[in-house]
Amino acid sequence: MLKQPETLVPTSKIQRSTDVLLTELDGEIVVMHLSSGKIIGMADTGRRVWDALEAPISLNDLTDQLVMEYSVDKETCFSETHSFVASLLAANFVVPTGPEG
Amino acid sequence: MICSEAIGLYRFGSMTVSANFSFTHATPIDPVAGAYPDVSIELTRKDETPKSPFYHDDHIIAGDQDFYFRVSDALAFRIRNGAHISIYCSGSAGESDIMLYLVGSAWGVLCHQRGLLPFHCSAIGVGNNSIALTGASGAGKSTLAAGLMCRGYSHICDDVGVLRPKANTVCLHPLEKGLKLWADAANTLNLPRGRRAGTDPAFDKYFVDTNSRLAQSELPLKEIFVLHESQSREFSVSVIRGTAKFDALLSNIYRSEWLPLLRKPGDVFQDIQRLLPSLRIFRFTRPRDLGLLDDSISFLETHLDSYAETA
Repeated sequence: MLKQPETLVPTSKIQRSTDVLLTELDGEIVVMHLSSGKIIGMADTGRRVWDALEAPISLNDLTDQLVMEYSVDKETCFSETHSFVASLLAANFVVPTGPEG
Repeated sequence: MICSEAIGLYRFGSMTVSANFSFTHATPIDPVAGAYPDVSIELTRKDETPKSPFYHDDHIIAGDQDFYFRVSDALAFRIRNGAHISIYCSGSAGESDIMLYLVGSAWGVLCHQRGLLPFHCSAIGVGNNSIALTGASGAGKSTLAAGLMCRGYSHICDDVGVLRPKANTVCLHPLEKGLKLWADAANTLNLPRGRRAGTDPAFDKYFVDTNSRLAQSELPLKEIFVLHESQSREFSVSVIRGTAKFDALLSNIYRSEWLPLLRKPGDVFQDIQRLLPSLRIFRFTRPRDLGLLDDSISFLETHLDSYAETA
């Protein structure tokens, strides 16, 4: 049975996968997903998002944190963060952790 | 190619090798009492494949530390535990093809099984260090390295150099495969063509002589140039950093398409992590026109000379 792609619900908690290795290189972090062998690099805001995903957090709470730190309106921030985190979820770099927060 | 009852001992790729045929790419050595070879190579008419494979397609059968690839109906290779290579040859396979794949893909698999990193590159010596030229097949690695050799730089390796990630100093260990150039490249560089490198009519490559210009010792690897083709007549060298630097090393590992069948991703990640701090990696973009080869070499040489002054 094919695994259905996870849908990113704004109130559901997500967290970094433990099936990764990472290293820092020239101000970027390079992350490899061990089961798939896929690699992603993150700098600046992407890296900040990755740092925030160390503990379970919902997309809404993550957006609230970023709005406080960066000069960006909430709607734009939510849209861009949703897009980025959804791509991480699709590639299994982040995983859902449980019920809504 | 003839099997022999006698086992010959050779030196190849910094390893001691035993073979039951004349291993023409390798250096014959005298046996040492009580010493066992690092690798044994057997030419055989028995076509035996891995017993418990986890992967199987028309050309490859892969098990744990047991990798088999088929070149044709007449030729196949099985590599086990980084120590044994069996060459199945029905008799109709030519010696040049057997050697081509033995010192190429088969030895590459052997290196992967031993936890080494074979790197797809040609390399030259610059002062007390080495620099490697890498990129896609056909990018011009061999031609540029040969051109630099003609200008007095020592030649280290063609097509593959082996990295040992756990070593204290990162050196590129050559495989003694010889230097192969396309016919038109050899002509452009005025290098006499030796014997043909394979029997495939489409593979119009020839061995050229490097003996008098070989590097005399293994030199630390300091810089890697990833070759790209310019769409204009512009030349440029730019530093590669961050994730792109990581990917430049990963994607140019020899036989990287087979890596998932040979090594755990985490082990490869950690190997690259160990290697990268001592390396600078550049993108070298230039026109592919053989008529501009001299200009390409001169452009790269100015960078090498400025590096040698500061190294």
